[in-house]
Amino acid sequence: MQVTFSYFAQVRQAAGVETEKLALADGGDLAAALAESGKRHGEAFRTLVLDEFGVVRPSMLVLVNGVPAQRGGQRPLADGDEVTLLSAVAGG
Amino acid sequence: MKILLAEREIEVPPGTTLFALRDRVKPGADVLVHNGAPAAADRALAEGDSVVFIRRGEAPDREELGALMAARHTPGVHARVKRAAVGIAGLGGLGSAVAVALARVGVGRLVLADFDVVEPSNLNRQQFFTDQLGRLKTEALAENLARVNPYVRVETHAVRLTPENVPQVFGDVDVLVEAFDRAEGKAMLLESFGRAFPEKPVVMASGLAGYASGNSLRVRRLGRRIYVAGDLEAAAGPGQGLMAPRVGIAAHLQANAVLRLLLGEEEA
Repeated sequence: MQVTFSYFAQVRQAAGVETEKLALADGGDLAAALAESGKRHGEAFRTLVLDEFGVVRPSMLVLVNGVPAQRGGQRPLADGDEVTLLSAVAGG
Repeated sequence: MKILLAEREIEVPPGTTLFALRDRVKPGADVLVHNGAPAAADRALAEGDSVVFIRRGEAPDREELGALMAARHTPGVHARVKRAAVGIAGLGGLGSAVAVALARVGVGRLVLADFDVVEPSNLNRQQFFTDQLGRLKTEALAENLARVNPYVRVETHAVRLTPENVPQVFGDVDVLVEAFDRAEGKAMLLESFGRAFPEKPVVMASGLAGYASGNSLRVRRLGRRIYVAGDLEAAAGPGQGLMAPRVGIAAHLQANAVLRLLLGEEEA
């Protein structure tokens, strides 16, 4: 199946792209998709998005089809799904 | 002849003077504004004139303030805004300014949450005063809002927001404003509210520190009902602190986005 990733701000800078399509095995979930994206874009990207245990960092906003995804990444994905990643920054 | 009295059109007999009208509609008014300027001397009124009478220290009653807002905003806009409830999570530089803006525009109800107290370092950007130092932000802001618009219903929660209590605190608002300081809190709020109420909009903020050009701040639509104000990058930290002008721009981008959403606009 194909999943589209959209990246914003520092995530976009680390990925070097705004948006991309990733091929995943059918039945894959969000964690697998994030791991695949991390493999593609190297250490700086992986460190920004995931902690040392491979868990999404608490400051990361992760949306699937425009709706916030539960931290933990076990949300199943389907062909055509869209994942959005933005690292929130401090200040308010 | 027709004139405007506190923005409402009324008929007055030709030859009516400013002082005579004052004595008829607001005896004892000590500030008279005629066609936008304070007037000390009596004068004859003319067709189309605009007049406001003020008794110093007296707040307009609910009907009068409502009429003024309806005149300024149009009756349709005012009616919709007056029916709305907006939640604001965090009452710092963003949240306090958003609250003031929405109170001024006549939002019917505000649900405010913050566990913190007013500190001296807040005064460079937050809508509090020196005589409020040490007080809970919820209490201090509620007092300030009452002075701005006493007819907004303000509900306060002096609590630290968690994934468990966010749905309870903000369950019946129409729109939620995320105004936290910490990045982790922003994500937590989005996740806990967005998952409980996926059809309700959330207006967040990220990237508003320092004094880079205000032109780089804007509102982006991130998801179906999720909007983010800011430049997404300028994090608060050493050498790049939060300052009133840029924080204020971001806050008012949020407030305007809220207003647009309440009025049925999809794009903030």
